[in-house]
Amino acid sequence: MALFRIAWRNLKEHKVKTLIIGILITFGITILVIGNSMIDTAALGIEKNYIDNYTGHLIITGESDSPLTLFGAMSFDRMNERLPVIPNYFQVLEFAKTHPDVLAVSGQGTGMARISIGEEAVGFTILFGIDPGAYLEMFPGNLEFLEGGFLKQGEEGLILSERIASLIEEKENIKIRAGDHVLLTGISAGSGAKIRELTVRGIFRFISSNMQLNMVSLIDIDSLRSLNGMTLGAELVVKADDDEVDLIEQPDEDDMFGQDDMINSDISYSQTEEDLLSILGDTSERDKLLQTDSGAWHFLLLKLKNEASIREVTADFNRFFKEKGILEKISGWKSGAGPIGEMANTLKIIFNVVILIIACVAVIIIMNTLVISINERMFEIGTMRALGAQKGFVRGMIIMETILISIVFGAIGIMAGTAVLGLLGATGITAPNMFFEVIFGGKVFYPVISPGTIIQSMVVIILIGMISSLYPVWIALKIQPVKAIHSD
Amino acid sequence: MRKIGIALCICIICWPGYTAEPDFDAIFKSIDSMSTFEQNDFSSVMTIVSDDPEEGRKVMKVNQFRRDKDDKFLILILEPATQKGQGYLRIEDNLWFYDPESRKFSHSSFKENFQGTDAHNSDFRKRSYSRDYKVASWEEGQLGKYDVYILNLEARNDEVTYPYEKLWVRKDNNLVLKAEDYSLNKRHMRTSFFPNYTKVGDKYLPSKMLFVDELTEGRKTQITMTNISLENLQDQVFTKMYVERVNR
Repeated sequence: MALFRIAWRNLKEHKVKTLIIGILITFGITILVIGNSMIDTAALGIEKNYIDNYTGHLIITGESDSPLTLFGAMSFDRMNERLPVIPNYFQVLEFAKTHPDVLAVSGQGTGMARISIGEEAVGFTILFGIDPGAYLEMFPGNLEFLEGGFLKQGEEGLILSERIASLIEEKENIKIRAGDHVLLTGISAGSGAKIRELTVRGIFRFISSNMQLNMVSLIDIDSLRSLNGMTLGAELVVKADDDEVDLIEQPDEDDMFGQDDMINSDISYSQTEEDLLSILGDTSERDKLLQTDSGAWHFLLLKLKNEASIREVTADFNRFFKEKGILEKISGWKSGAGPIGEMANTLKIIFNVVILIIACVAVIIIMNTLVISINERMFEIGTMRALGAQKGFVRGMIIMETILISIVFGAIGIMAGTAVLGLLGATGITAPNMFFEVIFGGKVFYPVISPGTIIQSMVVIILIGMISSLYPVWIALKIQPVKAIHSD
Repeated sequence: MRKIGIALCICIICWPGYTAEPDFDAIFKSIDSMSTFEQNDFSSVMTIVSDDPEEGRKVMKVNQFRRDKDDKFLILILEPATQKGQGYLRIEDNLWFYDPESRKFSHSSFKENFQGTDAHNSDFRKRSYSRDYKVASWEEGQLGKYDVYILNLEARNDEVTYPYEKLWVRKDNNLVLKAEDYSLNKRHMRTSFFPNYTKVGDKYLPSKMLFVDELTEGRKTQITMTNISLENLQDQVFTKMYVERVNR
């Protein structure tokens, strides 16, 4: 108690210095509270938005070396790779449907296609291949239709994104309407190009969208399988002769250009009209192999009854995969959401690095101010030591001073931050552009105070106080009572 | 003064290491004439083997037909069975892709990869170094057993797939042995090798080619050409109707 009284008296006596340090702490903590609360609100918003509308809580995929998202492989050099399908899909689906904690399941496929009107290419779209019934059950009310409507069960067709429709209208001056026919050319490199003619059943937008989701159109899964080559003949292997693979297997420049004669003799081959017309031979095998594989899905999305059971359900599925020897992977919503799912986390890291730098500067300033203060009080501290005050007492007095400043002004900072957040939460912040819409998880953002941030701020305050007082304490303890009394 | 000038010229020409600049126009014309067929049609079967570190090996067999004098070509896929009958038809500046499953054509681009391989659609059309490139610098060199000119080329127009190219051309007969393709920011994108040629009439045609993707390690494509013919083809071959008819 004596320590507290002395520390309080000292702070009151050095009002200007106390105020300088105090303002610095208040300002820093206010920014920390507002910034981190906003980022936490945004992260929660993005998470809820994705789980409710696009990913569910858990995503099951086939095995892959590269990270898989619902939008395809995310690394640029793997954009063209074929996504793995889920092996033993029906077995996994059955297990998911009968799991007591699973509320809804929906299979999904992903692809990309060029959109053509007639033969002319007019745009591109990302495709989510879906089963209409399961999709609506999983994500009720996440779509808004501007024209037409949703796919009926078993119906072929395309639900075109409003953004893509308007891009086509802007660039090509072509208005696509519900009921129009478009050609989609699948551009999955793994299985070659494929064309499908489809009816546009509706023009839609996701109620809560972002720039990545704006590029997504919905398509019946069978048409997507056809565009992606997810057919019965997908794994067909064609053998090549040895002399057709010699270079590819040993691409050695010296071998290639080490021969004396690289020119073959003069040969010529001729084809009759009949040869030209029967060039493809029998095509019946092709028609069989092109039947779509009804068990081919890239993703199985799971929505849980209770978010708290994510860990247990994940463990159950992993046990099931292991027991059955199935090579599949189950992961959280973030893995499927792509870079936008990670955006809030990335922003939080950047923000906290900036805060850390500011905190270091604050520590240096506070430390300097305390050192000056200690130098001014050299006589006083020397006298206290001469009258019998132990080193521990002096140390405690200075630490108490800094912690007192930190707590008082830190609390003011927390209150100021909470007040500003309350105001922003009441009025809302309108996203000025698409980038902020992504971060805000919508057009208007209503930040709320995050309890985690308050705790984090308190810890930061105490740490700043403790670290700032280390050097001043060391100086104060070096003061020799006799020298200090003589110096005045 | 005149004598000094002549003496200087002699000195420069006889200086060790000096080589007179080759006639690039003649080299380009020779390369172009060997790979273009203005007088005849051209057809061949190509086996395309592509290795990809992720996707494994893919083998495709196609029949190509070219009529360079009219800027036309047709590529019909023979194998794998799932893609049999798919075709790329070029008539002048139009390139269509045909899918027999939907019986539909759609416009394609010369700059797109051919069916996910390292070859581009543009690799199948008539090439013209005289029209598309100029020599920025050159040197002499050796590639295996062959003396070559190494030419650094810059594109004259933006219709080519790569704006910069480095060519290894055999000195004695102007055959292209190797090519390196570079992007606009000079990034090495692809290396092509042409170690075997077949002589048909007065033409030399690369019968084996290797394309190496320099961006993805292990991604490469070998093309082997057989059944080469310079006989004239019927006009109907270069029509959409023919592509549809052979698929019936």
